[in-house]
Amino acid sequence: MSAAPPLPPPTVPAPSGIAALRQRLTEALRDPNPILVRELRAIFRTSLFIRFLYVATAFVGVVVVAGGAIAAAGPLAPGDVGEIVFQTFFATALLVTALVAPGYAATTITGERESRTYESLLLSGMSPGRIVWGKFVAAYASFTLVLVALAPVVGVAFLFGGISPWHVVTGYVGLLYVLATAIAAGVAVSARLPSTRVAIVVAAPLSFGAAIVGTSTLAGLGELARDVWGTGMAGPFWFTDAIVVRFGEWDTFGLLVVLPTYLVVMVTWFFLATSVAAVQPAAEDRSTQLKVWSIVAVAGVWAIAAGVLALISRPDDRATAGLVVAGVGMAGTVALALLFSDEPPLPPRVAPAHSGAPAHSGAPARARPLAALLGPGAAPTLRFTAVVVVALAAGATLVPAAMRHALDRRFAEHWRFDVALMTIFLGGVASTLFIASLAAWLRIVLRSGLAARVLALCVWVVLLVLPLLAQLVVSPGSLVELDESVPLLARLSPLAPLFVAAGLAGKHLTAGAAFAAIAPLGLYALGAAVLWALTERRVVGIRAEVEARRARQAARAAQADAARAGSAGRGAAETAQGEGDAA
Amino acid sequence: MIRVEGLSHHFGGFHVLRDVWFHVPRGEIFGFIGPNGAGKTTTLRMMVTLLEPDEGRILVDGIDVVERPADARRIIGFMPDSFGVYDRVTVTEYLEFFAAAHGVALGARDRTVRAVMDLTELGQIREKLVSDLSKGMKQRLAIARTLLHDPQVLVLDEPANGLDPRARIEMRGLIEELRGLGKTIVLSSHILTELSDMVGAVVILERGRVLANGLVGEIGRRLRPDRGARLRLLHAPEGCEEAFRAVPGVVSVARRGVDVAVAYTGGDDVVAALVARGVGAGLAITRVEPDQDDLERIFLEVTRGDLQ
Repeated sequence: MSAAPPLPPPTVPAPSGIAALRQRLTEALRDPNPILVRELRAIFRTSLFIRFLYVATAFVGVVVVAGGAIAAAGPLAPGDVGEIVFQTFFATALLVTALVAPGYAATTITGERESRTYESLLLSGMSPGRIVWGKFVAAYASFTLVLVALAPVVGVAFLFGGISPWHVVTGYVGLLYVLATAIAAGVAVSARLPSTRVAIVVAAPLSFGAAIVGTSTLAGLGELARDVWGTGMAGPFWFTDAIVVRFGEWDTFGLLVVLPTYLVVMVTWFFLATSVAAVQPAAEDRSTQLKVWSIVAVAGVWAIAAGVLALISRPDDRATAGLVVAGVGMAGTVALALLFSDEPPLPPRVAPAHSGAPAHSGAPARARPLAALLGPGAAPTLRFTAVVVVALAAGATLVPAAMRHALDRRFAEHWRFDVALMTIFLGGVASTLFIASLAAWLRIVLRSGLAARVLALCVWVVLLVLPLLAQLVVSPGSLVELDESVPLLARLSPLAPLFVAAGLAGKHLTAGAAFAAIAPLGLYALGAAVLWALTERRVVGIRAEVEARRARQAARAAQADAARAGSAGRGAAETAQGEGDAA
Repeated sequence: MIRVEGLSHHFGGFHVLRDVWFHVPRGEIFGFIGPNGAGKTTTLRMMVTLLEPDEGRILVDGIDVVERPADARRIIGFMPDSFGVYDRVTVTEYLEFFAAAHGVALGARDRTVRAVMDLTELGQIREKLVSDLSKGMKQRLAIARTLLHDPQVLVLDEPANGLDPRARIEMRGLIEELRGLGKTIVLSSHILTELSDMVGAVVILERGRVLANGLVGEIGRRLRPDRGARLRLLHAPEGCEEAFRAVPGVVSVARRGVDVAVAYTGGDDVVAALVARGVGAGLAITRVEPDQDDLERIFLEVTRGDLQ
């Protein structure tokens, strides 16, 4: 009688969707990221942090009280004084955040390198993503504590009125948004640079500059909002009042809640993804995270383009705004083209753990064909870059055209703006693909991502400017009315489609003249095709070389094994013979 | 356990390793020696997945460390020659942190940390801040960290570097205890006398090339087939060396005062025959010292002392 085969163990289906998210959250709370726990312990055991809390609170307190006292001494109504105190508090808190947070975050990974604990961390088996996330959350949490410690100071505003608790809550959400991007930028700088001092020196001025530009832009947008929506508050934190007063309006919700949230998430994600790429060992996949990011970013551009154009009411304005969106989108394609120019010729040799997969796979079995086509490695990454560049350019041109056709059916000049968008699309894609192919080819030839990126950027700037300068030399004054006719040499500049689009919008050019004007940009398409082909060919050559080297290596290893087995066999035979002789 | 096959690497135009091959047997303490700049640390860093070789491969228990670094890290523990520790945490917190980082389950973490502290005798200082520990204790803590995920292979780069004599002796005891637990230990050290007492096999590197590889005794015999022994006599009458010269296998005999130096081919049976012949000839032998295949001699004979 044969025994019945044992029953397979009962399988518990893995939770999915909300249940999976809840399970992950529960696990994260029960057993948080070890870096977060250790960093927080270390931070709270140092007197430096407590001293900084005191100093920051005292500084903001003094500035706010002094500002309030000066305002109260004037003829202003109490409500206006309260508003000034409110603005002073948040502007000072923003200054502290912009000055200190990135510098503080810039020490997180360089600190590990300098204290020589970095390698232990890498070898501990923690993924680079987990390391970077732990560092980010720890820095974010500790600096949030600083902002919370400042909170009582804003209470001074309530003494004068004009401000509600919701204004403060909204202002704090804004500060926390800025903090997220500032900390993520600091971590990104820290992951790239070798020394803490250099990281601080780089991060602090950059973020300070970004804060100045950001605050000025915000204040400018505030003026625009006052005109359009009639909101009452001026200054960089005007949005708190706009959100509180117009929270139910969909345009306010879209522009002041959804759009900033999306932008903060994307910028923070970008910085963290670049940090992960920098922490990742060179032999491992460094680009996939950024590729995922860029896909979401491109989808976001489509949505933002649609949203912005939907907000505009006049057909003429919508058509012109479509051209502006397309122009900004083209600048984005160049950034995307250079983003992926640090990819090594071959994909990483790392195969997924326990998969038994061959070298050069680096992806789960189902995704392997896609990874071979668009995954890590110079050639697949160049193909991926082409796909996202075209997708972004399409989003920046097709969406405005589609929105215009959908919302302004009776608009008489559709064809004119359609041709203008098409010239921007064609010219932009051709020149951007040229830069992407050039950077990928330079990366392989020079064996340096930085050199390739810098050289490609220099070539781009030269191509933008040189044709215009040459045109000026040949015919001074010929660039005065570019929207009416684009001179021959200026047509070689990647800016030419923008001039042509302006000419079309201004009714100075016909469709035929527009296409003729951007025809020289076909040279970029040709150059892109040649450089792309060279890159693919070079990668094939390198792959063949590496595989031949590996085959030689395997043959030598087999020879060495055979020799070892032979010598062991001879040793055993000699021993047996010796024993026989002794007998 | 570890197979290094055709390893080559260069930094810029400088070749730091050239076609390095060697094999580390399972459960052994394996010495990794060479002058400064020989490529020892580069090889060790490649072994533990911190550096990718330009050519060649390293298999640890059959796992290619470049193609499957995550799997390799699970079975390797590495202590670099200069390492840092987190200062503002206690010994227990430090080890708990690395246990969590290694993915030791929350339920098993406390038990694992306690077991490692017992093994490395850190239990008494478990609540001390790491910043307050002595150099020797920090070194011990670093070894404890490498043991948290119970690796099969330990790679220790200069583990006794900068330690006082007592701490060195304790470190040696700990390493031998770990070998007793079945770990394969790759040890790089400049202190050859210490390595001599522990290692079974060595590889000697110079200028990025392997000069010698194998069991210490085998290398010694390969280098110098003639062996030597030194006999001290109570009295050394004139012509006493003739008694030793007649022993089969003896190549030469030289007397200096009461010391007689004998060069011979063969094994320890020749030494036994020398003693028997001396006693038979009425000579009072007070000491016999066969030459050792010590690492220092091998190292000096193999390397040329070239600086890189």
